[in-house]
Amino acid sequence: MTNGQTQSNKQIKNKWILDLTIFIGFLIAMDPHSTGIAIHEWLTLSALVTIMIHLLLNWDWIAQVTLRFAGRVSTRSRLNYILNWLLFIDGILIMLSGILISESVVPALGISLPAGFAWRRLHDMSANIALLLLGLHTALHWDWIVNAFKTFIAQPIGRLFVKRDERKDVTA
Amino acid sequence: MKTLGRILIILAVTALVTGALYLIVNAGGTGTASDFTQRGEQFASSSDFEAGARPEFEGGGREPRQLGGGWAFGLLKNMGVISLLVAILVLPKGLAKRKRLAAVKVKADDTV
Repeated sequence: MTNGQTQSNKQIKNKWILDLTIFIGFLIAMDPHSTGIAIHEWLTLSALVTIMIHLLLNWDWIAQVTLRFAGRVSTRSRLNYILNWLLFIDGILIMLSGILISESVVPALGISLPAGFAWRRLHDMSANIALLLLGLHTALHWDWIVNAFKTFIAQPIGRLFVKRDERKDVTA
Repeated sequence: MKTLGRILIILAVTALVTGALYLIVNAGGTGTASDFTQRGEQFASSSDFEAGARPEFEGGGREPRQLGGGWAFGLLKNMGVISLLVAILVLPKGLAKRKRLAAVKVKADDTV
């Protein structure tokens, strides 16, 4: 394996681990009844950093499709790009409404924001939309997710068993 | 430096979208309680908010409450929604791919 390929594999592995972390974090954050409001709010706030890294890791794709969006881009990429923008806007709406109805993070910072019923409703609505968009986002990247799982999880585990069998054969 | 520039671009776009969303929601007149009370929805009295309480709808709002399935019910439900979406979108594609491969195999067998 060349150095370039190793680097690329490392990047894919990092991306996959980060995406899995965001996915699990999102699922936990989406259930404030189980975790409590404080965990819900601090977890989503910390998710901003992971989402920023996610965007930075996929920057080349974002830049390429942005420049070529009106020109020669596959339908799949175009669809993916639009979906990602919707997810981005919806994510911001979740954050904004979440901050405005915050019961833990904002009061802890000593900030007092005006209460608004619409933000409460918007927070619920945008979270439900985000769930659907995340489902579509996952479906569009399903092949990549499965391939990465096979490469970084299934195959190394399989290799471990093969090595054990080989050792047994040698000792026998 | 390149990464810093990218971070600044992301933050700038985020700030723009945040500002736009805030303006849209407030311009729509939905940022206040009046819109909801006009529709007949009832909330706690305004004196509660003056005391620092957050607005809640009837029936619990954001307070932790016991649901039918207990802890992690919501987590499993959300996982189910995503799994369903993935299955609906991915399975037909996989089946179509298998059919295509089978058709190619049959053609290859016929030519032999």
